[in-house]
Amino acid sequence: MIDNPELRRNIWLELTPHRLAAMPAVLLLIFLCVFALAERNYTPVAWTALGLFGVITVIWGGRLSADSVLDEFRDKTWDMQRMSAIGPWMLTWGKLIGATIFAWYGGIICLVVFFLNGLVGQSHIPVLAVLLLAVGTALLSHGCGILSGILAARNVRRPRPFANSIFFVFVLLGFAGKLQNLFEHQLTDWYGLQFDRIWFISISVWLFAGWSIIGVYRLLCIEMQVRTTLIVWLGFCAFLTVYGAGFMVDQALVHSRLTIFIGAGFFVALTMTYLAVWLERRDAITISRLVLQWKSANLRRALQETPCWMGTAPMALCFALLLILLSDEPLAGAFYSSFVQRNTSLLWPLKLWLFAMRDIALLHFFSMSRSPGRAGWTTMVYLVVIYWLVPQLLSLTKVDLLIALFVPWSGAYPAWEVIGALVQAVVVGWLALHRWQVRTAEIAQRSATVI
Amino acid sequence: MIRVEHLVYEYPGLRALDNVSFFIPQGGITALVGPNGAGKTTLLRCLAGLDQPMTGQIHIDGIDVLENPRECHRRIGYLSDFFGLYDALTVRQCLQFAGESCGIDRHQIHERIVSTARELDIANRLDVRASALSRGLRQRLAIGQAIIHAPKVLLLDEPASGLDPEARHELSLLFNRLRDRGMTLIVSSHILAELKEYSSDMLIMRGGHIVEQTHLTHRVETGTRLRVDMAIDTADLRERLMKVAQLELIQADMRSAVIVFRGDRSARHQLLRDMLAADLPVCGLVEETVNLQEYYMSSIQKADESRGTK
Repeated sequence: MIDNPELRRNIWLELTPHRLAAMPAVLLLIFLCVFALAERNYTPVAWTALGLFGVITVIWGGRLSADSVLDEFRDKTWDMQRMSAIGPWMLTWGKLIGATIFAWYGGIICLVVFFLNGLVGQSHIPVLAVLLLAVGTALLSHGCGILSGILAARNVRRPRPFANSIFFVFVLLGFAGKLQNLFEHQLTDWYGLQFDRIWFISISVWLFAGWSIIGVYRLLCIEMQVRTTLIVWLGFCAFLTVYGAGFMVDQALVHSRLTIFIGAGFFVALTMTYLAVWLERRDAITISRLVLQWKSANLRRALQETPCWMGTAPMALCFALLLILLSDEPLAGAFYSSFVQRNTSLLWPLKLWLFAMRDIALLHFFSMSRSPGRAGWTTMVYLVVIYWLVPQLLSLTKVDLLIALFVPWSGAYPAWEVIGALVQAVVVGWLALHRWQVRTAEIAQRSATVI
Repeated sequence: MIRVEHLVYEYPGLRALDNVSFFIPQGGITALVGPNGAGKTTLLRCLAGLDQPMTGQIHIDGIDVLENPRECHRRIGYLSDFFGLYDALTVRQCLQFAGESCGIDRHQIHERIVSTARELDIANRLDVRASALSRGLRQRLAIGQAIIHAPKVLLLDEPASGLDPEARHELSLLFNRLRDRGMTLIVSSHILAELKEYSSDMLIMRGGHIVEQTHLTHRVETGTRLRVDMAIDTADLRERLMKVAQLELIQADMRSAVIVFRGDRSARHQLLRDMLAADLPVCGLVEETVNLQEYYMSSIQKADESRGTK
């Protein structure tokens, strides 16, 4: 690990003698202050140490990890990193540990103080589980930080570290809000088995942290021109399906476990499709490149060029069709959402999928414009209009059929909803395709007239 | 050494490279010139394996860049037009990081740092932070980072921009030294006058096309361009010169002629003696260097005319 040049570079930058001396000194002063104010009670010191770990290692470390990529873009050193011979795996660890090494330095001091004070203080704190959770959360935060940094830099090329870090602070504060409940020895049902909640969450956080690191590795592979396919993405979707299905399986529904898996697979595949299409490049050139590889029957390169959403969208369709075929009841007992309860038709998975495809086609339509930089925001505005403003206006007409054409949650006219979604998906898809053809023809024509 | 075939690269709304093909042999310095937006930077980035073209082939030192970009990265050095340095690191640390990132063994790295720093004349600043260096020294450090692993090919995008004349001259000397060591260089620049000092070939780009590829200097085996000046107007200069020796005459008028001469310095002395013996009023015999500015403008003009006829 120490032979990792990226790690060594970060150590040079982060661990200066001044910082190495200042961090423990400041922390010691804080702990002594809390100890004195709490009338020599160890428990407040333990909680303070845990809180400081959250601030220093989880929040600040998350920010540092995101900056480790964003700074490279800003300082124009990213190309050197991309051409580095050390490989994406070494670079992943070099950034993950190296960029946050000073945050870990302070964090480890806090965890040691928490561990010692937790042992001698209140006995009901599950110290080991909390330690596991704390370290896992920090790793998850750092992994997500680097992921968001690379994605921000890849997509906008004008990264906004401040907005990025604000996002992390909100996410982590959300977690922190739930922290209090963790120590109340509640149980979590998963696949009909019961687990102590804090241990379950700790292990879950570690699993997701592992996936975030794999995600960083995959994105660095793409940046460093190491060929990748959709295997990691599909693997993550499979993990989410298995993980998520565990919460849906009820002991009373053991006989329909297959349907539960398919249902979970459908929701995961559809959600991840929707998520991926917003995060990936989708301009005319990206599509042209993909089409070219498929046309030239270069299957390997074509699979390497295939965006993630194209891998999960067909999976979602398969799951939707399987759900329609296998379900003798619309999974109302398994999925407790009001949406499913209202949608008593068996066609709801297909309807959802078609509406998603319409939205994806709309996003691509705007991404094929001459200035695709704001395609995401433009699409969002139109989606708000389609999903909220138009139904509101149509509701004044009291014609439910018209509303059913625009939103997937109406449930009043299932067949019409499917037909409406299909027509919209086809029309918007055709518009996007037409725009792509126009754009590629324009490029070819312009180059012919340049010289 | 570098073979590019039918390269096409597109940005949204623009074809930056359109069916670009060329071959560059080992050991020369190729000047990549063209107006802004000609596709020079895109071409260099494709050669460096940083951007993937739509179609085409790139082979560098026998490596298919598009299939094995990582393998290619080990063999090339690349300096982008807006390069960055790790400002908080010292020159030594910058070079060490660059060297180790390029796979140089830890036992060899210190030796390489010293030799590279000496090569770039920054050995006395090894413990100075990069942020404290002047523009010219930063440029040298950036080049040092690109060459510390002794690449076979060095790609430089506008390396002399922002440098003072002295720093530019030193850069030219450095490029010549690297070429003499067998390195193949491609240097993109707007400043044609500076390219003259070191370029052996010129690749002219316009609108994503290669307008012309030409040799600028002639080696001994291919001949040297010599300009013969007359003291007085000589009406039949062409014929009289051809009688002196079997010369390859490029152009001649009454006052001067340009010939291609194959031979060493003593052979050139003999040629001068022969011309004087033939009673030619020679007042000068000098190596002629190509005026890059004129050459470039003439190539661009030809390309425009060609487009007009099409």
